Amino acid sequence: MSETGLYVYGLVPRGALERAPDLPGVDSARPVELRCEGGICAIVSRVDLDRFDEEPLRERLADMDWVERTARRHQEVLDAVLAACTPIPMRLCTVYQDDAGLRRMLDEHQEGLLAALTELSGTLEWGVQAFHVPETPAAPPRPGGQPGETASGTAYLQTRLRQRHAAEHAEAEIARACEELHDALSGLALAARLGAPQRPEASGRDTPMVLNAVYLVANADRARFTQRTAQLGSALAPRGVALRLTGPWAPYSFVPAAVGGAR
Amino acid sequence: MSAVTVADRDVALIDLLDRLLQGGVVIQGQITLCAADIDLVALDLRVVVSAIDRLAAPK
Repeated sequence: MSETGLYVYGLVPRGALERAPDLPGVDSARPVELRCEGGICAIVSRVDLDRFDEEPLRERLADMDWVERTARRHQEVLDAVLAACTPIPMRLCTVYQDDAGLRRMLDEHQEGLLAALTELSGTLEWGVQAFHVPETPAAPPRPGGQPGETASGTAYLQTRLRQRHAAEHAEAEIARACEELHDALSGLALAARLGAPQRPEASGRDTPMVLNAVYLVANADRARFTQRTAQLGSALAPRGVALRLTGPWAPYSFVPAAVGGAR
Repeated sequence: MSAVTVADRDVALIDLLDRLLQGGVVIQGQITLCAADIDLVALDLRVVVSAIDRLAAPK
């Protein structure tokens, strides 16, 4: 029997959940539980330290199947509480050695964590990605004019130049469309952040990502936000921009920096 | 419906890892381990490699 630690999925206000989500944890043999201290409950499950200690963990992070399984379990547990409250999500593979260590952390950071939970209460994160869907590219100019005509180098170069200008123009158009989109959605959100666009290999799309944004939206404005995104998606389609909406997410991107978050 | 795809529960791994490895809370101090110091660039590369592998070997 090996030593166990506590894997922490996220933190919620005490009383927000009647019980822990009835779901398998990152170690399927062990249930998800709550550990409360003061006004905060941590959503946790036990894990074997011989698998989750620093060295073995490092090795396992090379195993993408394991990383995916763990990440999805982590998300499923947090997703299960979204209807009841907004959790402060922990980063993947946050493990405390024992109950005492976890309780000490909750105690020491109680004030800041409670403030963050209050601030995030009634909000959720939404992701909007924009992709540039180019029109069918124009056929490359033939080095020559009309059939039978003498090849004209000048005409060829002029055509190439025109195409380059058109491409530059299209790029500026896309940038402007993204800016309008982000402005419109930011206006419906409590906070917004722009991330680096994902590469096509990672996004799994063969069209380039031109916007990767996240928005913190009040639950009361949820319908307005998703409907506006759909409207903007229809409006932007003729301009060569396709949108993808994801969510709702626990507010991974909007935990205040004061409690160790990204904001 | 429209030009917007709602991915909802079918979340791409990359979107999830973006959040779980770069977002969320890292509280220093009592914590024993966390993915905070993991080489994100290396992991990102692995995600990409894995995505390519999947494309190359469709089920």
